[in-house]
Parts: sequence; structure tokens; C-alpha cells
Amino acid sequence: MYGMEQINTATGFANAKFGSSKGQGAKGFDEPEIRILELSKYVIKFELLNTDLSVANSLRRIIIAEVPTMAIDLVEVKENTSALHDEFIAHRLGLIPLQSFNVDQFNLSDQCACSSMCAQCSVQFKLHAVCSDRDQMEVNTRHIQPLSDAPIIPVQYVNDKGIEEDPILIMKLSKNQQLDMNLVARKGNGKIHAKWSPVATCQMRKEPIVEIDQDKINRDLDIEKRKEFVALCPREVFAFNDYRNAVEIENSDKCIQCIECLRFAQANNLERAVKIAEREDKFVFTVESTGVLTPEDIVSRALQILMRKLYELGTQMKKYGVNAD
Amino acid sequence: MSDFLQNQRVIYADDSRVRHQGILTIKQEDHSLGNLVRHQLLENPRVKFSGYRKPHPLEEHVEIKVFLSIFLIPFQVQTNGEVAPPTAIIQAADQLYKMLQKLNESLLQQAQLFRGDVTML
Repeated sequence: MYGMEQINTATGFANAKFGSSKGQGAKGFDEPEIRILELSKYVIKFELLNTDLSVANSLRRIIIAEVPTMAIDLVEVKENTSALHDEFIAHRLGLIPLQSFNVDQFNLSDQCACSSMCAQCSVQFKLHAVCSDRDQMEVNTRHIQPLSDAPIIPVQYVNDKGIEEDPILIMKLSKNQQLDMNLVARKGNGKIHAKWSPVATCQMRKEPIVEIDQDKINRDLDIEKRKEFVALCPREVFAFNDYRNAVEIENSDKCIQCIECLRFAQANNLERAVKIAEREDKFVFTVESTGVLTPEDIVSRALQILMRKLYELGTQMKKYGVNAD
Repeated sequence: MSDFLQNQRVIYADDSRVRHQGILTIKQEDHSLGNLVRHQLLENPRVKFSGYRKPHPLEEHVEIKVFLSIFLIPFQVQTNGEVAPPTAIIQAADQLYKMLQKLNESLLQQAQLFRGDVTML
């Protein structure tokens, strides 16, 4: 009555095959596709369908390491009488995310025509803070003043309700301490230093497939055992239906392939009744921006970077002749 | 010749011992492109072998600005010689380019729907 096929439909895996669906060669599947599942100010979740692992992994690697952004790269310390030493502060300043929507108008500093620094490859800021009238003072990203009108400024986070959050704390000064610095932001990517990476997290996973033979499990196990089976899954993939006294699949998406359920099944002579696997043609991405770019922009830029690389490879190869026998 | 090659980012060299086999070297690239192209080449039924290696993990660090190289060691192509390795590479790059273009377009379209009237930024 509750055979495999019915369960498949219920979990949305009507056409899913077990194991590798790459059987007929990777291009045996349909058109590659992206489906956005969630999109908020800082996070995008999407599915990448009908591609193989190499495409998904390349996309992930490019998002993390090769999407260019701006970050503070050079700090000139004029005055620092705080408790923290210069390098420590410089490092903290480097990690501050800067809004990089206009990153395209800048050159990488080593590819710029200028000899050291110019408006095409750098943005200047000033950081000046004096604690004179209080016992303690917080220095935050609001103290960073741009010296040009370039639209590169420290990120101002906004929460779900649209209310601005506190600016990022850089350090604290106590009475009569002061800080005076010139900062230079430059373009770079995560390959050079992680401070240029546009993402906080970029993770991808294969979608799990969980199938149980309800007939068998609910017939061969007594109720106590069934409840035990449901409880042993650390991710609560299964649920116990009190009306039917039966095991059901609640949320197969949560499965982390820990094979606890398979072990239990094996111990109870039910090897065939539980199957878990991963889909080879579907990847679920979660990309969390640091605020420097919108999340969909990060993914789009990453795709374009990959496209540019492939275009260059294609055109460069043409000079080697089309039919070199 | 070698001076000329040193300035190129993409270098292809035929194998002198085996027909329809050669080595493609791409400088300043890593696994992101290497594995992608390798995989796409394997989709081509005429490609008998395709693999890539990054000769040394630390070379990236030293050579990232000047010389980081990754070696694609593509393929022997089937004996009839209809498709030479460079052609197969061009095809693979082309297919991937078109695929990514489609993905990008659909991503932006959907993002617009999600964002609605809310302006970006």
C-alpha cells in the first residue's frame, strides 16, 4: 500500500534514480538550470541542476577566491597612542568590509598604469579619533572618513526590519589616547588575501535521497522498535505517525548521510528497507555575503569570471589551428 | 619561440611521440578551471584521455603574479584524426561558456523577480 513509488512522490523524488544518475554520460540530463530558493539582503540559496560536480565546485571556488572586492590594504600611522600596536590595528582595518558595488571601475594595483597609487586603483580614507572628554571611547567604522567622492565606504549592516545595526567596532580608546591614520583601499580577490573574499560562507551540498520501505519496516518491527528507529536519526529525518503507528519520512533534506539508520536496519535484518544516497546532478548552494556585494551579484560575477576565462581559453586556442593533424 | 611562449597565458604543445596528443598549459589558473575543462573534454566521445595536474601546491604562491601554471594533459584523439586536440579544447570551452551564460541569465531574471521593486544597494 505504501510502496516505494508512493513515497518517492511524497518526497518530491518522483524521477530520482538511485546512485549515480550520471549513467548515460553527464550530458544525458536536461538543460543546466539555476533555481533560487531564498533571497534576502545578505543570503542567497539556490539549486544548481543538471550539471556535474566540476561545474558546481568551480563556481564555489570562484565565489570564494576570485570575485574582486575592495579592502583596506595600506595603513599609514601618523599617531597611535592607544593600547594596541600599529600592526594589530592595521590588520583589523583590513578585515572591514567595504561596499564594492563600483569595484569594476578600479584597476588592480599591479595592473594599473600609474607608478604607485592613483584614483583608478585606490581609494583614500582618514581615520582620526581622539578621546579627550570621556573615560573611554569606541572607535568604529563611522570614524573612517573618505577623502574622495568614490562610492566605496564601510558596509553599514541593516537587520531584517530595515533598521541600521551598530557600526563595526575597531578598537577602544581610553582618556587622552588618540589615533590618526591614513588608509588606502585597493582592489583584490580572495586568492591574495581572505579579506577580499566577498562571502562569509559559500557552501554547496548534494541533495540527499532518503527512501524507506514502509511496508517492511512497519510490518517487521514492533512499535517500540519503530519509535527507536525514528529517534536514532540525529537530524530528525523520520517521524512517527501516531495515528497509523508507522514510520514516515519527515524531512529527507536534513539527512547528513550518517548511516545510523542503515546500521539499525542491518542489525534488524532489514537491509533493503532503508536506502540513503545523494543526487549527483543537483547541488544546493548557500552563499552568504559579507555585505560588500549583494549575494546574487556575487554569484553572477563569479559566473562571468568563469565565462571570461573560458572565452580567453577558446580564443587563445584558435591560433593553434583547427585541424592540426 | 620560447620567449614568445613565455608571454602567453595559454600554451598548447603537441606530443612528439604520440599522435593527437598534447599538453595545454594555462598560467595563473588553478583547479577551478583545470578540473572544469578536463571534465568537459571527457564529455567529447572522441577524447580518449584527459587529466590535469597542478605541479606543485607551493608554486601557486610563488608564481601567482608571474607564472602559476596548471597542466592539462589532454588527450589522444581517435585515429581518424577528425578532431585534433585544439579543436576539442575550443569546443569544450565553447560549450561551457554557453552553459554558464544561460545560468547567469536565468539567475539574474529570477533575482529580479525575488527583489521586486526594491532597488538594489
